[in-house]
Amino acid sequence: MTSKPIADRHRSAVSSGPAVNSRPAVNKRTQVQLASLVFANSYVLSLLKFCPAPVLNCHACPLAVMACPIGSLQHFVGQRRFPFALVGFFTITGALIGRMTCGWACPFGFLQDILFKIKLRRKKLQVRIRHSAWKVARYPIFIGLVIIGAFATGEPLFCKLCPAGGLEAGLPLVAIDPSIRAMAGTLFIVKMAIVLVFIVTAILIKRPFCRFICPLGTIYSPFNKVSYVKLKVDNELCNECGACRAACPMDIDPYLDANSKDCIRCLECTSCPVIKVKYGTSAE
Amino acid sequence: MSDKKADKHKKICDEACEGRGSLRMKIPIRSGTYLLLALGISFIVIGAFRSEFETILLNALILCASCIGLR
Repeated sequence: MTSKPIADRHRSAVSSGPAVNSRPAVNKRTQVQLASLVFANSYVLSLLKFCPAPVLNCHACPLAVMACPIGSLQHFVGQRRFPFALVGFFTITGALIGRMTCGWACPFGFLQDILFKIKLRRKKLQVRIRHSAWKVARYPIFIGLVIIGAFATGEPLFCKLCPAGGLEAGLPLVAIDPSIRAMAGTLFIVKMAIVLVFIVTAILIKRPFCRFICPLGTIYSPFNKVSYVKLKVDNELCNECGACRAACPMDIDPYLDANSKDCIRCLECTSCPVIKVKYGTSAE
Repeated sequence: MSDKKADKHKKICDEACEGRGSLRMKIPIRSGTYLLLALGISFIVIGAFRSEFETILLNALILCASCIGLR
């Protein structure tokens, strides 16, 4: 338990700054997410398909303007070529902003945020999921399916099961094109079942795909510790009230590790004045 | 030295003398971030020379049967 003076100081800091519940960054983030969704699937700019998107957006979607980084990565691994351009792209994005694209630009993350806004009683489930070991599942998925699977079979194994592909490419193409519909078989049914499970899970828990599956988030997550944009908690003022955890879409404790590998830099926790964005200057 | 520069210099020196500041030059980005950025740019340049962007484009233009879930 924190001492009284610290608790008082935290209370006064909270009352002097913006209140935690006012969440000024949320509307802005939603606008950016919406803009990113529209841009990533705006069709007219599809000349940009030579460039990988910094977010998970299936390039088989008829409206997609950029290439899916995970699909492209699997293609290179399947051809047994080292993907220099992709690794460079991941390194630059990660070094500058870490996983911020997950929180601010990913259309699939945006969909999960919207699904979780459906009001339900799910407090007990949230607590159980937060303490489960499932959050490490994305590492074997990344190594097993995206790297080893693609290398061994020469096929994009993750794409075969990816709910983003099923939702953005599978559903619309099968719906509008009779020739594609004729080719849809067992794999399509499996994909639709995965999409359904994903939608139900996203209604029940916060960002399940980002927390337990996303290979792109797995690539970006180590950069959170070294990226230019960071979060900093004033430990002297923090009384661990848990308001930041309640606001966090990844259900993490920012006061324990502000630059956690799971953090998507949505900055919702920064509505508490104890947590601040810090730019990685050398004179820290 | 201009007045503005002299004022800034005096302020930094005074703070250092009083033990409040540091004379160490503040570099805008950590060297580790510079290193990662340099590495990333070099990899992209190597990738461009190896025609990797064309490969990404061709792969993205082909209707991906795996993504759609076709037989």
